[in-house]
Amino acid sequence: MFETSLRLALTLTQIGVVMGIVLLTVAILTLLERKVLAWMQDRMGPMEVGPYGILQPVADGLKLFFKEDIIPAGANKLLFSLAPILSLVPALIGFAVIPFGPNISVEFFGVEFKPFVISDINIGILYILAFASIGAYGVILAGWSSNSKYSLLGGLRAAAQLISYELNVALSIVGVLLLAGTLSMVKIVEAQGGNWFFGIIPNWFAFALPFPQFVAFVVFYLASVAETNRLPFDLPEAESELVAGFFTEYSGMRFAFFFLAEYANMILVSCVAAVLFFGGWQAPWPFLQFHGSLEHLAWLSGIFWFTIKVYFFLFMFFWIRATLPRLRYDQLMRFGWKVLLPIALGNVVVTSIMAYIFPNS
Amino acid sequence: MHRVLETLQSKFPSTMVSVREDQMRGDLSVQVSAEGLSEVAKFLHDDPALAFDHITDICSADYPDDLERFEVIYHFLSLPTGTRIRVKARVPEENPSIASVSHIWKGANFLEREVFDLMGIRFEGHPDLRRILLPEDFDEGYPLRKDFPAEGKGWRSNFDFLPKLDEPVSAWNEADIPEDQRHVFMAGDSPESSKRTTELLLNMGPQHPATHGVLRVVLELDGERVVKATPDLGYLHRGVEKLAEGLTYMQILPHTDRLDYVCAMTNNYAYVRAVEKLIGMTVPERAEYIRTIVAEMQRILGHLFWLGTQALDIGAMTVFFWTFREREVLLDLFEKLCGARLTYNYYRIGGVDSDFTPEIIEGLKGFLKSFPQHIHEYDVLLQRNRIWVARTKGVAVISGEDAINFGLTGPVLRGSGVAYDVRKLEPYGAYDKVDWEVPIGKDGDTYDRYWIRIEEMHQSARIIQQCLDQLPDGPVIADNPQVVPPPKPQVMRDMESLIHHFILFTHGFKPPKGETYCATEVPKGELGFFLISDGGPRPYRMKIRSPSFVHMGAFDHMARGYLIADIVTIFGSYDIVMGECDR
Amino acid sequence: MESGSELLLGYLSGYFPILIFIFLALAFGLVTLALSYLVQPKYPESEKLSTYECGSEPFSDSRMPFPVRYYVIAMLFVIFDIEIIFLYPWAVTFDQLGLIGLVEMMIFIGLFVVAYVYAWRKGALEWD
Repeated sequence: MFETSLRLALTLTQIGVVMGIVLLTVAILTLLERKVLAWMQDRMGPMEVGPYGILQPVADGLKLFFKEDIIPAGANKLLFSLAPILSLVPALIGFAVIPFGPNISVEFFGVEFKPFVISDINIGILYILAFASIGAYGVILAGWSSNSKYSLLGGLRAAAQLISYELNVALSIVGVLLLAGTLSMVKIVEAQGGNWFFGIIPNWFAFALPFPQFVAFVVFYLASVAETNRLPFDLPEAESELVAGFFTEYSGMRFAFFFLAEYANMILVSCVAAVLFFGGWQAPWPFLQFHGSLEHLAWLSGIFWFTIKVYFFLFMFFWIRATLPRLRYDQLMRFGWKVLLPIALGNVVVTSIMAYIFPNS
Repeated sequence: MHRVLETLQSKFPSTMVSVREDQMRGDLSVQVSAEGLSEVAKFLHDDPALAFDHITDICSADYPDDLERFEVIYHFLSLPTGTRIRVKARVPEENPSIASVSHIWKGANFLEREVFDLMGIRFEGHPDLRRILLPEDFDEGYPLRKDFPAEGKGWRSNFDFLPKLDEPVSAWNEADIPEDQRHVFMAGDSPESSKRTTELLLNMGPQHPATHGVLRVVLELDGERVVKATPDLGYLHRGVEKLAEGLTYMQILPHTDRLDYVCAMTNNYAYVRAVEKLIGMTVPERAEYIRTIVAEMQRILGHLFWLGTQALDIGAMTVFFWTFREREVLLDLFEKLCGARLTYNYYRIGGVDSDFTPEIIEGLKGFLKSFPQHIHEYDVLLQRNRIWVARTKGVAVISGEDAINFGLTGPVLRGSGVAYDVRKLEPYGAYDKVDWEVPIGKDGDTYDRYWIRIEEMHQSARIIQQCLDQLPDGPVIADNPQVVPPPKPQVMRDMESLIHHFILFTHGFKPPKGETYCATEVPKGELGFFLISDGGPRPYRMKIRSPSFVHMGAFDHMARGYLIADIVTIFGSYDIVMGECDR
Repeated sequence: MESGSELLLGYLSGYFPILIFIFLALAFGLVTLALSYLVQPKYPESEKLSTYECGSEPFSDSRMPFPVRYYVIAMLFVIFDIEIIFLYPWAVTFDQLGLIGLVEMMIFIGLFVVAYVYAWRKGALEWD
């Protein structure tokens, strides 16, 4: 009994910490995005709330929290209220299978648990893909239930866009699975240890033999940008065309949930990209594991490298947003179906042949 | 007599009421009978020797004391020969109707609707004769008629859509709404919703992030594709033309600032040029140079604004902030020049308000030095960006013939490969004294219009540079006591000057009786002022030919078959400013 | 038998934290909404509750039939997504399947490509 309740307590703590970190990161990201964009655009960004505007996320959050929540007349009240939660929950729970640090077990009053992953289930990737699909329902229902034409168009666009790019996400991962031979996120990271080519190139799947998955990574990342509705693929909420797309009618906390979901999804796909293609918590070279001889501090270095990678991908989101204009709808569909899909498929074929010719290298 | 007038007189001896060549102002005008107008217009358009292919403007004037009260005035331009002609026809008060020319020039559609809206003249055979600037249910008459008071009829307090500030906001209670209306927007079995229409009617604007102000367009959509686009103008209509009839020539000047508020000085320039043409006065050379420099600075300002907003509409937000960085430098210069950053009021009838200081010239030279580098930065983000090219190439194509027929001007016309620039055709200022080129597009798509505006910024910089190098010495305002007030320090010391100043500002000056149309190339296209003077201190009629309004006439033609996302591109591609469009 | 049920239990225990996570995430959403509901102002009025149509009266119902294009995309997605999911178990056990697995899957992908090319040629991937 004691063991079960302790296990439960540990799990709850873990979940609490992960959720707290994710929500905190979202807050940081909203500020960081505005600051990064501002620097790229020769301006200051938010400067009013707190020194250098660092309290801006708090002010934004409080404002949204205390704002009137409007349900438009004619909206389907149930679906309208449900949609933001349906969007937020999948974005949060995807983090359950992400390994944030080395796969070590700690004994705590006789209970063994892994501190850096909530649950290392053996179908980790399928789990993330499955819940990402559910998140799309939130967006579609939000668009449909608002009873506004702009929302409806946004919702329809979102539906077609999300499913089109989900194919590419799913297909681009197959190469990694071929090389790793597992669906577990932890085992995938563990398969990427070490270096090759005289110890220069890390054995991350993006660069590893027998066939580097870098192209697959590019497909995955582009499709993920589309999945998270970010520029240049932000058509479901394209401001200059559809005002705010599927969440035009939302205000207050429900609006904040869509916002949270979008940013949480960005963090999630950055984590997945780091895990699948860039060796998760693995340092690029052994000498960069700065814990030195203190083996029991290896997790610090692991978390450090994981964070660096995730923030790099997040920075890429902002960078792309500052650089590229928005695609048009037909161009978006063409790009997904006629460019990314064949590339991803070709990658699967080539990888499987290479993996057959050079097994276990 | 002019060749065109001779041809017309010999061809239509009975239709011509009178022909007139204004030697002083270089205007050709013919007065025709209302019945013969259609015939004359067709001949003017079709005859290969005349080839008046471009419709500039249609307006009207009201002469309540005359037998035939209303005068409809057409301005045509022949691009091949570079000739302008004014055709006038009188219609009586009892039956104010005249044949429509919208089947000859498609651009006449909107212009005739405006005349119908403001003066109440019906155009027989017009496809869609509705009010355009005023609300469709406006039933108080026709505001430009002389018997309509300029201050209105005082019903602002009666408009039920204007909120009454002293009344509390009515609270919403779902129970208050009758049961049958409660779910009016819900899908149900009402006859309307059961009718299976495949077209979605989408209302874009007036409250929309990408409609550049208060433009409203009703889109009929098939999925995301536009089947029909109906612009609804007039949300910013202020009746500037009516207001002008109650103001002296000098008092109108600040009102022109508010037309195209993005580059206000170009409007001032167009207006003062029209008045100067009406009076027949000349401007000192230094003033001409300064005016040219300032006009080109304004052109850069306007194009920068356009580039930023167009890029933002297509999603490239960084360009927007970068262009505003450069705009800031220019705005600071304008602030030094005249103390204002938005509505400047620097041009004067007869010259400009004050001379350049050395500081401004230095600042301008510094700007010119860094400006090509900045344009290069935009090019890096846009010109070689595949998404940008895909979003603009082949979008909103309009052929050169159509563009002329719709009366388009400026970069929109030149994008279709028509080399029409007022600065080249009828050089004013110092444009004929410096070396510059008119960039011409090939395909008439959004990309060409984008390229032309970028290229025009280069040319503007070139013009400014040469003007600065050649800048002659001398006064900056004409020595014409009839029109130009004495300098302020003199007014403070000298009784004579004070009286002179007082008379000029209270009574205004009186231009000779006559009428003239004067076109100026502003960043948006051809901004024309048509002035009728009855010899009094106030214009009898002032018509503003605004490029944005004429461009909106071609909107449906250009939007059909494109996607919603392209609608935004087309708005941007016109570079419309609603203050100018609605007047 | 007992070892089998233990295996199942051990297998399911991995999903238990996920279940808790779902509940916690839901609770976070609902509690935040509820708290916000308690403190927010509520001044509804008819104009505010009307649907956004750029400032003018909505003139038709927005719940209306929309083009069939979206359904075509959705159908293609279902077909292709299922085919892709078949690749997953194959990819994971690739090492054990050997040449036969490779050839079989190449044939499968070949069929996939045939379907894809067919859809492309029929214009199902064109938005217009």
